[in-house]
Parts: sequence; structure tokens; C-alpha cells
Amino acid sequence: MSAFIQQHSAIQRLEPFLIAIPQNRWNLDLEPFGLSIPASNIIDPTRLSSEPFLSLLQTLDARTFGPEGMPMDRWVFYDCCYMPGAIFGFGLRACDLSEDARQLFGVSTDYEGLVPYAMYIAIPMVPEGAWMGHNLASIGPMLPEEGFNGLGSVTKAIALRCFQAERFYGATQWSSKALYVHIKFGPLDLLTAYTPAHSTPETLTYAFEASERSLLSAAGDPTAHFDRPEPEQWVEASDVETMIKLQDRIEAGEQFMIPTRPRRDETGVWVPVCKKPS
Amino acid sequence: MLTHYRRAFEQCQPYVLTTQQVAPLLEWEPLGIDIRGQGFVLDPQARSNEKFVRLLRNLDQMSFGTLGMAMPQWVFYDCGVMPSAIFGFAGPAGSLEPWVRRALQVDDDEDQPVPLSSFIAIPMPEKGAWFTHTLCSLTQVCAGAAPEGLASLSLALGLRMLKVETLYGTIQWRSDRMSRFTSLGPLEVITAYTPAHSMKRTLTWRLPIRRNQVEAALSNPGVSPAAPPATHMLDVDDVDALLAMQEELEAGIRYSIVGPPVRRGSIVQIPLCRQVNP
Repeated sequence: MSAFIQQHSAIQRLEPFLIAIPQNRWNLDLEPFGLSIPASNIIDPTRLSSEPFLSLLQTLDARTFGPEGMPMDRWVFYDCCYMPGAIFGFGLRACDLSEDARQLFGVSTDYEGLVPYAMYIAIPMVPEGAWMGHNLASIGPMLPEEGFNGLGSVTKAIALRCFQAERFYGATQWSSKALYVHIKFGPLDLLTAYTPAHSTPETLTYAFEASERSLLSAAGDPTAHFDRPEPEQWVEASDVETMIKLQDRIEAGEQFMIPTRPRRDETGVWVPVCKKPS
Repeated sequence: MLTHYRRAFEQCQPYVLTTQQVAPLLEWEPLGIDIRGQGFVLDPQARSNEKFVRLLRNLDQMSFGTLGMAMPQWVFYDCGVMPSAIFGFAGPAGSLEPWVRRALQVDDDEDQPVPLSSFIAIPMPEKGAWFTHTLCSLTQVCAGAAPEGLASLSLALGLRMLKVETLYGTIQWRSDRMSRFTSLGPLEVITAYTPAHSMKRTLTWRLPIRRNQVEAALSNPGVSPAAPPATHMLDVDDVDALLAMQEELEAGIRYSIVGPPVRRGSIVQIPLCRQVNP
């Protein structure tokens, strides 16, 4: 099973890295799916020497989330990622960067270290084995000619193994392209359909069991697949009224799922929803 | 122990904002206070609690906005609501002075509970360890607007509710909030100078939580009886000293903050204990 991950085309040229304070590493899998993280790529964010790499992570985040208005300040990285959680990702040595990538990151000519191409951030939750997804960033869509298709999905899958997550939670907007990644992990339990406690109320909260099958499915292993329920309704990603009705039904005790990937057409983004099978 | 806080309990009620996933795992009678009986419990994902969540955001804006570190609402959701619980004290809108209501943007509903303090900690992969995300009270920005001591009380009860064994946090060296934590015991310094944070002159600390020390701090705040004597005083505006201390920390020398800051004119000094490992 690990062979599929190890031979994944998106990560062949890249090196895995992990950012975690020493106290947090004991409960992490430092060889997820048999991938060995070089000791020099296990980064302690509390050390002065880590700063250049951490700045590049912030650049990756800003390039990914800046346009959506949700890039993270440095204190958010520190207080909400480095200290309580962990970051797993893949990077390339500066000397192997293309000119486009060098410009995208603003890498100086005297920097010789690792440059992050993808990262996944999560933090533990109170229930044991539960993790909350925080941030998925990949350079893949920004440099399509470099052949990193699927890098985001495989990074998230390996990260969840590294974090030893058993049940995974996340929040995303109904219109977000990230849903195409999340749905690869299997049908998603829908926990909120309309979320005023978030910056964007048109946010949904989802969860899934982070099983071996789920992670391999997300990475693209053709032997790992799910029986997905049929959609019973399609929610258009800007239809707040329907989201609120769905939220009211969730609060009344009904359980729903997002069984398959959204579809996009000239009328909008449509997300499938069905009742959770008993 | 809680006699000194009688006024707080007369004027306010404890509240807990927690999801259905987290609620069963909390300690509901911290330090003998029946939270369900004496306070109220809110589901942050329920639409009916949107107003309370908005007021909590206003409190955070007032407390941290001037530092440029007000919490984005999506961070509140992803790092507070989902992985953990939010604990604090609230009072009815009708009990607040008109200027306080204006400052917090409270509407005309006299019975609306208004959060006056909040404590959020995020679980970490290290067993029993939590990271302090927020501790604030209205009185730190609007003196006289709420009973004294709400922040200390929120911290003490929150630590018990979350069953915290080790508490981590970050704070700026010049912060006047430092003494809240030094009251609980000597703070082990993890970083003295932190370029990965928005404010480099931030320190990262770690504190083993002992129930008797938490109770002692409630009734007699100041220097923790558990703190060893200081070996020297640190001028917190001496950046070279902070950098030298950071380099020593990275070389394995241990530092603890053993008391609250001492302020004379424009000089702020902090008592430290320096320990060289054998």
C-alpha cells in the first residue's frame, strides 16, 4: 500500500518536510507511508535558523490564499500552527527551482535551502485522534507546466498519516475549489451548512474517518474507492436560503453528507447533498 | 478561595461555548462551580447564538485590535470553536453602562448576555498540553466596565474545564498581562526572541499546571510560592540580551521567569532564573 504513495508522480522530485516543536513530535509518525523525512527537514520553529524557511511558508500561503482575503499573519502561523499543531509538506532545493518558481517565491540568489511547494496544517482537537484541518496550500495550480498535478491531495493524505489523525474535521466555503480535494477522502459528513461563527457564513463544516482507504483514495490509488450515495439535492454555492434551511434541519437532528464532487456549469457551482445512510 | 470573587459571581455568569463533539469531554464542575447550573452553555454552530459570537468578536477586537492582532473570524472558528471550547464570564446587556454598550456595539436587547471575558486554549499533540490562544477581559481596555478579576477567574476555571496539565503560550516581553501567568508558577522560557512571530520581541513559555498553585494564585496573586529565587533581572528592551538569551536557550541552557515584571519609569525588568544543565 505504501508503494503507491512512494511512487506518486507528484512527489518524485520533492523532499518531505515537517515543522513541529520537539515536544509535539513524539505523537507524530515520522515515516508516514514509509516516506522518510530527512532529519534536516524536521524543522523546529522556535529556532532562529528556521526563520528563512518559515518566511517562505508564509509566501506560499499568501500566494494561495491572498486572493481570497484569508492569508495568515505571522502570529497566526506561530500561535495557531507551529505551537499547537504541525505542518507537513514537500519542497524543492533552491538550486533546483525553475525561474518561474524562483520569482513566485521571491527567493534570493544566496538562499540554498528548501523551498516549500505544498503544505498541510492541522491542529489536534479535544476528542482523542481528532484533528482540525487548517490550511492546504500547493504551488501546483500556479505552475501548471511543472507537472505537480495532485500535489495538494497527496500532501494532505500523507500529512494526516503523519499526524496520526483518526477522524478529521474541516471547514470550507461551498464555492471553494478545495472541496474537490476533500471529497477524494470519501463521502463527507456535513456538520454545518451555514456558519455565522466563521468569517464567511457560507461555510460548511465537514468530517470523515481518516482510514487507510480514505487516505489512499485521496492520493489517487485506484484500488481504494468508496460506494458513494446518490445525491438527493444540489446546493448552489451562493444560495444562502437553502444553506440556512439545511442548517436548521441539521440543528434539528437530521444528518447529511456530501457524497460526491461538486459540478460547475454556467449557472453556478452545485454541491451534492444527501441524507446520511443509517 | 473564591470568596474574593463573590462580586464577579453576583454580577456575571460563567459561559461555555462548545460544540457537541467537545462538550462531553469537558470538566463541568471546575473548582466546585457547577457551570451548567450557575452559568450557560452555548453551541457556537447554532444559528441562534450568532449574536453572542459577534459580541465575543467585538471583545476580541477591543482587546487585541490595537496590537494589530485581533483574531480573524475564521481563526476563531478553525482554532477555537472546532478543536476546543471557549470559556468566560458574561453579564446581561441591561447591567452595562451605556458607554460600555456603545463600545461593544451591544443592541437594545436588555437580556442579551454579553461576554465580558474569554479564555481559549488549543490542544497540542503532547498529551495534556494546551496552547493559550486568548485570555482577555473587558476591564483591561475599559477599566470599571466589569468586575475586577474576570481574566484570572476565567483562566483558573478554564484550565480545570479543559483538564490542562501543561500550558504553553506566547506573550510580548513588555506586556502588562505577564503577571497573570507568573502567578501560576515559574514560566519555562522556550523562546526569548521569536522572528517567526509578528512581533520578534515575543517570548514563548511553558508552565506545568498544579491545582494547588492555580488555587493559590486566585486567592493571592503575585509571585508564585513555587518559583525559585531569581538569578538576575532582564531589561526587556535590551534586544541584544534577548538574542543572547535565545542563543543560550538553543544551546540547552534553561531560563525561567520567576515573578511579575518590575516597572520603574521607562524601564521594565523581569526576574529570571538561569540554570545550566549539569
